[in-house]
Amino acid sequence: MMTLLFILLACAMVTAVSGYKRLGIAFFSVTVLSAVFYFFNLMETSVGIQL
Amino acid sequence: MRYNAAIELNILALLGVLSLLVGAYVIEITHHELPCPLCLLQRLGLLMIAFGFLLNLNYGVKMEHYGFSLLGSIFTTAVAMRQIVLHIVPTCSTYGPKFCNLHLYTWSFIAASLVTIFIALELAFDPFLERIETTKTQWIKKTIVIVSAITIALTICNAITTFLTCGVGACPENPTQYKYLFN
Repeated sequence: MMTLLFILLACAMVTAVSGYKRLGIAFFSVTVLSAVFYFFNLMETSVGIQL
Repeated sequence: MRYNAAIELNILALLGVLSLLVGAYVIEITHHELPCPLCLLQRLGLLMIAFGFLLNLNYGVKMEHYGFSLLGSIFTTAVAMRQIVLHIVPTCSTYGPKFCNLHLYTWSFIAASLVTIFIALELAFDPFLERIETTKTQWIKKTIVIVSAITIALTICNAITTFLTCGVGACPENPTQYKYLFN
């Protein structure tokens, strides 16, 4: 999952720098949404929240 | 494209963010300390900040680009704060080595907060900064290409090392060795 997030962000950067700004922003948006969901999932499953 | 002081400040800010990521790699290699899932999320957040600055350098300084960096800085702050709170629980030990008496996740929180303040000041003084034009156009063009390449290379490096640590599934909570490098 985490690997996929970095790959998505790399795609966002490469496409944006290559001139496809909107596609880059689309990749970036997907990355942000996925990262936020992953973060909340991590919060629910990690040790700290169960103490 | 005309270059001004705002572009120069964006280059400096991007270099600052990249230096944090390089520092994290240096500690990972020298201390043999693999990043935890929250540490990886903070790295991702720092790269999100870098994405906004990258757009500023390649398409000119715009408010929407700062918005992307701001999203990244808020995300990094939230994740770093979560990790700080997690490790101040008495039964939970700290994670990773210290740098200048603070753990890396605390530094991450400080850095993300500073980026938020930087963006606020940039937006506040943008009309003033745009009037200060620079004469070093060729130098800035070359720097933008180099900095963009370094940013993309670091993102790809992070993707590779994350794959080596976690594979395609969930990351281990306390990784001690690369999943695919030594097995």
